[in-house]
Amino acid sequence: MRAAGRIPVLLVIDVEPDGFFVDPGARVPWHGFEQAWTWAQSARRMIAAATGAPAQFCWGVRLDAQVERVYGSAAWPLRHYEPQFADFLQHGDALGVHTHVYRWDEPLHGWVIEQGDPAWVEHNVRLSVRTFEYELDRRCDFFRFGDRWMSDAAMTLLDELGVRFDLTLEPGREQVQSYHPDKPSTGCVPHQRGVPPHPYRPARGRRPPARSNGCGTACDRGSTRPGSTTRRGAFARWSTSRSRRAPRTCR
Amino acid sequence: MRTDSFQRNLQTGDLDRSMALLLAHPLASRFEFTTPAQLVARLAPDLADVRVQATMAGLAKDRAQTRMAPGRAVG
Repeated sequence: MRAAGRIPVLLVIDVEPDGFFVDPGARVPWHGFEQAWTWAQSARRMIAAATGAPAQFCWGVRLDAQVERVYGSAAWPLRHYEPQFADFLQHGDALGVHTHVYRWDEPLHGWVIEQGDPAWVEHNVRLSVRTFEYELDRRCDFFRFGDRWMSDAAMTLLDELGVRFDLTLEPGREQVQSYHPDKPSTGCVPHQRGVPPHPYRPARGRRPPARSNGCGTACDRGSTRPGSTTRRGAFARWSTSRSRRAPRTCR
Repeated sequence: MRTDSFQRNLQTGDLDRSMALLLAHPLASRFEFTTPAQLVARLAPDLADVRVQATMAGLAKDRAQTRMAPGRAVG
């Protein structure tokens, strides 16, 4: 079948530890990913049989500060699972970065979800993207935050780092305080109403953040970029609270 | 050993059932499991040479328009 008649599908798999809030003293292999790799091999055959075309998958790997703390290096998964990533590249898969912004808090002796700390977010994004590029000697094919969190500053940073595609946002989803309400956190997960359900280029610049319960978020159909030929409405402008707050537990 | 969501879905058979459902779709023979760059080149060629943003759930919504059950991202 000609490529033009095809319906593109993205199957995105997060490559990460088996748990979100892992024991920092236990370097446990990522059993879920190991099984995902095995499953992917059979899935490729199933898909090829059904579609008549080879299947490519998207793998977003965790290379952030939590991985660095627990495994001694943010690059651990790329080194430990080098054969798997070589296999992905051989199949033409997309390799990207998947980042959570968890910070180990000694006094709490636990992980804090630091989405409300722009400096920590930036550190994690830079660490993840740079680690990917250094280890694989190539640009990442996409980026995807954990817990569908995003901010203006983060989006701008991704652009600055040369990331071409972000797969974080989920159009229509509501704001939630946290996907892990039993864990301390800063910031919140923004609502994503108004996010276009198709590929788009986000607006640049930002407006004053909207506030709602101390973790304001806003998304609307923004203005187009000067000189752009893309239709109005294809852009989104994001604002999120950037103030650092003390970790809190949302109950 | 802790079991993550992928392992649970694999063990319960949900993953294979979901894939079988997907591939049983009348349009499945036209599906192309691909990469973000290729998807954007296909769906939004005017954005293919600039930094853009695609959304996974957005794609799920598109699939819903072809009467497919949209999935949700986890993690």
